[in-house]
Amino acid sequence: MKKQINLYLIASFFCFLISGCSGNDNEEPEPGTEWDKTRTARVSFVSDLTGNNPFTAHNYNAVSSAIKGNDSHVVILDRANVTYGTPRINPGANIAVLAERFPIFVPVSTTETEYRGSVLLYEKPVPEMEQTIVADACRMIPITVEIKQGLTVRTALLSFDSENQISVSANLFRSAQTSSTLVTGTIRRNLVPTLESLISTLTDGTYTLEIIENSAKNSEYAIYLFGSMKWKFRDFTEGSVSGNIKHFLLQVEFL
Amino acid sequence: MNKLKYIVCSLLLLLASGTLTSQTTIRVLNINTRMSGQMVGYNAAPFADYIEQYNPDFVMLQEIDYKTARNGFRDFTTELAAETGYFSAFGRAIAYSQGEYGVAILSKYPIEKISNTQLTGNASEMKEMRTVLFIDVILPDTGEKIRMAVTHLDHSTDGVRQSMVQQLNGAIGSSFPTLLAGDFNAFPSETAISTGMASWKRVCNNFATFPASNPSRKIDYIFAQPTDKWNVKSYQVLSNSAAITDHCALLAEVELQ
Repeated sequence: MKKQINLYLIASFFCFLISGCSGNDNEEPEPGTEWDKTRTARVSFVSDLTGNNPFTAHNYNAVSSAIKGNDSHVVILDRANVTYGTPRINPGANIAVLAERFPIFVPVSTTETEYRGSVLLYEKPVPEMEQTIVADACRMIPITVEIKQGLTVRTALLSFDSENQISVSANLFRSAQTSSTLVTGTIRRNLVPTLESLISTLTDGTYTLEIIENSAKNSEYAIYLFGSMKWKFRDFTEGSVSGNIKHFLLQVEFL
Repeated sequence: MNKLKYIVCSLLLLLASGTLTSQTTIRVLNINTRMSGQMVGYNAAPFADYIEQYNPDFVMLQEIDYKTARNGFRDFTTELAAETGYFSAFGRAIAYSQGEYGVAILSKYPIEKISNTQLTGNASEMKEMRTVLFIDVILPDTGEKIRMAVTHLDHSTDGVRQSMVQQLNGAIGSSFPTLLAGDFNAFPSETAISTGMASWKRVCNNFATFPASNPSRKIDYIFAQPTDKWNVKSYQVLSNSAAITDHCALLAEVELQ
């Protein structure tokens, strides 16, 4: 019996070799089978995934060094709140100067002392920008990314703190799917099933939704990615920056 | 009875003071920075100190470098934003000295929209392309959206500036109450101002704004539209900017009705 199994294994192995070598070497691989890094958008989040502002003068240097050390197309300083008392403190602008990037603030809400929101760091000044108010304390900002000369793609930042914000975003996700816009952001972890459920009902199933598995499984927030089938999630890496601040690099290929 | 009158009067006073301090009054500071701070070693800090003493809601800036060789590849706008804690936008007019050159806006309030439109004119007369940059913000207390625009017109002919003013008016539109400030490089009597800006309310007066050390020419302006939405509460030409730039700064307080 053992001899028979071994024979089967040997036969299967040769079949595998034959089938594996029988293809035409000149044929182009099916889109998505091989990772084309020259068509890949690199999106970075710098965050502690708590929903609070982790950026202070003590970590501006460490954060900017982490940003300068990678070649991301888009960098998001998650929750870089601006204090508007005296003195006014804008962590995003301070980090942008050190990281040699150009900052755009995406507000979500206002407290008695702060504008709460995130900061997008671009490689160059942004000549045109318009934010969409999705719901109370929720905005979407479209970001055009030039991956390489002749390949410009659409991405957008949209983060969620409450169920209502997700439910009113249905049309935005539909539109993102048809326009092949890659939508990313942070989401309160307990709202992930709500997001998954909404997306499964509004499309015909031809979409990519990734909830990124960061090392802190119980972090209050998680990072998500949504796109049409033109987008293929390829890789995720996580690194420490300062204290609890992490750098999350997402690589997504535009097929 | 007297006690009741006292309480009613106090309440009315409180209500009135609440109305007066609500965010309908806007302070605007306009500064042509003279080659992005050339007089202070291209350093943003003296401008930040100058801005902070007036506590404006918006700062409209001209002659701004973005990472040029002459300013040591510094992003002057973002450095000012970092120093002051304001939000910022930059509008490129031309590529210059391995970087960019244009105008910028600092805002106390988060920026909802940025739009930058290059302005051109008759090629045989125009010295260089210019630009109009605007931002939209929502005023926190009233929730009203306003548009803040800045420009710096070409230092060539009235004809070129007329053409640029026409383009500028088209780019800004009339969707929201708007304040426009900048260096128009034009005297009040020129057609670019007298006709081109006729649909705007003049926030400034005709006092000279240049050179800052001994002002003799009026070339910097602040306008508002629609004309019936804005009241001018105060306006000053500040020659104390002479230590950092060659233009007087303009400071206006306007009320949005």
